[in-house]
Amino acid sequence: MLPWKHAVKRIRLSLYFTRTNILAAMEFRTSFIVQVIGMLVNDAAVAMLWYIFFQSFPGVNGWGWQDTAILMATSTLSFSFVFIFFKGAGDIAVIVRQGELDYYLAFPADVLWHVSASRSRIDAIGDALFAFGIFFLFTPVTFVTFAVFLIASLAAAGVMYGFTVVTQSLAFYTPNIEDASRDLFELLLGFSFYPQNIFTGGIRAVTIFVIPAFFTATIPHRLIAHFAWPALGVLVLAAIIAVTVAILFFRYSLRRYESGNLMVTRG
Amino acid sequence: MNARIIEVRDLRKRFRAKQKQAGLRGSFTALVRPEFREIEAVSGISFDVNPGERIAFIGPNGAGKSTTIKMLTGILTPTSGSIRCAGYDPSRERKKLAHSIGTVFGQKSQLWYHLPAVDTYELFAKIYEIPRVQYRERLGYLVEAFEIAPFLATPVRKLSLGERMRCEIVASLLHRPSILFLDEPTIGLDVVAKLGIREVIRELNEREGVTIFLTSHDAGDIESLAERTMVVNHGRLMFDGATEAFRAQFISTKTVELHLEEDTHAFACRVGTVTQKSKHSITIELAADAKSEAIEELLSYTVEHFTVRDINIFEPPMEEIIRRMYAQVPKWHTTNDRSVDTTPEPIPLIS
Amino acid sequence: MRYSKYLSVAKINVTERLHHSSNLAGRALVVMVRIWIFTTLYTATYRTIHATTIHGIDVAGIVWMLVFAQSFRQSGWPNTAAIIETEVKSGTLAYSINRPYSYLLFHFWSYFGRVGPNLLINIGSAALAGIIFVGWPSISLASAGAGLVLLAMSFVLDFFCACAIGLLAFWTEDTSAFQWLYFKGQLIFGGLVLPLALFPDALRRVAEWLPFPAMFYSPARLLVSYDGALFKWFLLMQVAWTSVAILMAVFLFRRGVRNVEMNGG
Repeated sequence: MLPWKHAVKRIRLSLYFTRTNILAAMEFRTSFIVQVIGMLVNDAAVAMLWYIFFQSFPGVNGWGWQDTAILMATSTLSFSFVFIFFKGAGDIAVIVRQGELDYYLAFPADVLWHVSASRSRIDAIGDALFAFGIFFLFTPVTFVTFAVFLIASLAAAGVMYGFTVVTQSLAFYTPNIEDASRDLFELLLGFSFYPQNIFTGGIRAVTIFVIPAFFTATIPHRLIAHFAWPALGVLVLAAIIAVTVAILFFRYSLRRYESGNLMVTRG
Repeated sequence: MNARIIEVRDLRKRFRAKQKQAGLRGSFTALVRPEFREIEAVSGISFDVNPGERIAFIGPNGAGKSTTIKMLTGILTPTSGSIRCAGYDPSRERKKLAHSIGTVFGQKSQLWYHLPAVDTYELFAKIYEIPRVQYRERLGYLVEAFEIAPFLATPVRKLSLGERMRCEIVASLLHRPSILFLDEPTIGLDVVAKLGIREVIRELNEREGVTIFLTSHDAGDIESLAERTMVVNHGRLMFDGATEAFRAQFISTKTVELHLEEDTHAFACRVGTVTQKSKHSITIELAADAKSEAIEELLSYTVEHFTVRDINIFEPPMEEIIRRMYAQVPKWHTTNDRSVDTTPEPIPLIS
Repeated sequence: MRYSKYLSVAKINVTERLHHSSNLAGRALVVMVRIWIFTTLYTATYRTIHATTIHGIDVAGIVWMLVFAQSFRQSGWPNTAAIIETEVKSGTLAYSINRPYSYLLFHFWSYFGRVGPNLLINIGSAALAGIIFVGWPSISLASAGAGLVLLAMSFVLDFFCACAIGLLAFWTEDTSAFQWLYFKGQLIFGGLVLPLALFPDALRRVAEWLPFPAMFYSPARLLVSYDGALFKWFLLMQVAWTSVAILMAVFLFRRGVRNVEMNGG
């Protein structure tokens, strides 16, 4: 099969998975709505906090409320891209520990893709709504910034996905990694909501090499505020590298998978 | 000439298990200097399966049964030995193999819990890349054969266990596998549902020639479904032959329980051994190889001398049969391997 | 020795928490990084407006306030509201009513059992970060005393609020929406990211009436520098809101239990 045709098929199937998950979630309408609205409110609360902050202070080294609005829009959108469509990536550690990977190995499909695509985070729909809401309400929208917003968030989602897969796949090596990988992810989100220009020197190095917030937050914000081709190039390259590393690392680690049965004695 | 659908040669699987001493200090030591112990879950299994066979693959928990099935289906990679399954090497050609086999795990559902089964089928059709027309035709056939039409559109969580299991099996048959692996397909089902599932599996095998590879703790499943039985214990194949032969060789006793109107102390039939006796009931163990004459004799004696309130005839449960089998041949597997002694290695719990 | 059983309840929770020490170490690292980010943020902010103090508080003071407030806030974990919600929904609550102890008191002491070790570890790691990034705090005897009083009360207040939220599960299928609102209230007005001292004046005066600053912000604020008027105000707010929360929790509990008895769960 031609590679692009293969990719199109994958994307269509991913969407089909997401649709199925959303349908399943809608079986419980109230809970569905509570989750989506709840996340929307959650994000709005964080935004409100920063709004108050910038009421007290005119800015931080020239970074103002509008910059934070852009930052939050792109961070939450890339988050929702990953977790609406590929939430399973964030569950790899649990799935491996519980031996649930058996299920995915029985299918004629790529395991990483199947695990990732088969689950969806319903509340991430709230994040997506929030992202578009704050983007249209508080940033000067043009056709170009909107296009950049979508593209940059998508690329940032690639980096976020790669980071998630790699940290979660550590579960193939040591069983009690779930909390640690969740903490690392939380740090990534943590870095993504602060004025990015305060991260210099040591912290900047950390956001480039350890917790890739430089790629999931700093560059997307900069691109939307002042577009520049080289920055876009760097971001897309980072996304490609992150996803490739994730695929290779997962594939390599999968060889260590030892299923669940020997470890759990069931009656 | 090579018509075999499964070929297994000297299959072995070793796991490395981390050892940990109890307590906080043990945790710390394990962190700094982990100690490993090798456990051989499967130690040299060989067998062949012809297309269309119905096989029961049995053994106690931790015997290496699941590990073997997981290697056959490509979930685990063998430490050594070779497997051909439906013409593929499972560990190298997992995706191709997946198109030719179906798996049903009694304790793990593959159906989307909150959605009707038909939604999962649609999804599977896409993953297995089944063309639309073929899928429709296939689904129509299976829905009829398994009689699941009435609840096809009901969310799975609202189905009874028996209904759900039928839907599970249909899910694993959509892509026309040539081998169906069933792991405890009747676990937790009531008698009627069990019978239904067995019938459907047998019919499937007869109509489509699907090879059935089944594990179960239920002697009834084995006897009604499998024409051939393989027994594994301690990672070795201890028996491989016709289920009839297995019965004849190892199901050596039948237990007859009699509940009588009169006092049992006058009971004096010399057939079998009395294992339990109370005021009005008596339990007698008969040798199963003594054909039906012993039972006949026992029953006619009883009817003649007593008023019978109730009779039960039991066969020993599978675990018991395997235990006896093991006791009968204590040196079965010690001939060519130093690593296995007669006391079974307990499977360590890894937390 | 009627109360010794509650002591045992607290103790078993302490042991349980200690068993998850590697888990806590991970959390501690997250807290350290967060304090690092805050130091950078507020240093840059103060520099931008060319100020060394705002309302008498310098960057170090702000960072220490956040160190304290976040450590206090984190120490109540796992979330009481969620625990109670689960028990209400699973029917465990109805079952435990027959046990010879008060349901609310049982959870109250479980909460404090968790708070103890969590507090030590959270304060330990966050304070280490504080010392590294902005130096030792200057805590006077007065501020320490006031801070400790407010701290104890703030845990009581948080517990009963969370309790009331969890008990709402008697009536709604899912209390997570209420839990969210509660946490977000804490996030915005509880001084976890932006101390109330840095709010615009008008907004601060309104916010000070809310229960959220009376929780973990109040001891954090007083520990950093003593302010008699503020201490009295926070104490007043705590007493008022705690009374409301206790009344709510007890009311919801009684109502809920009666509902179960009448409708059979």
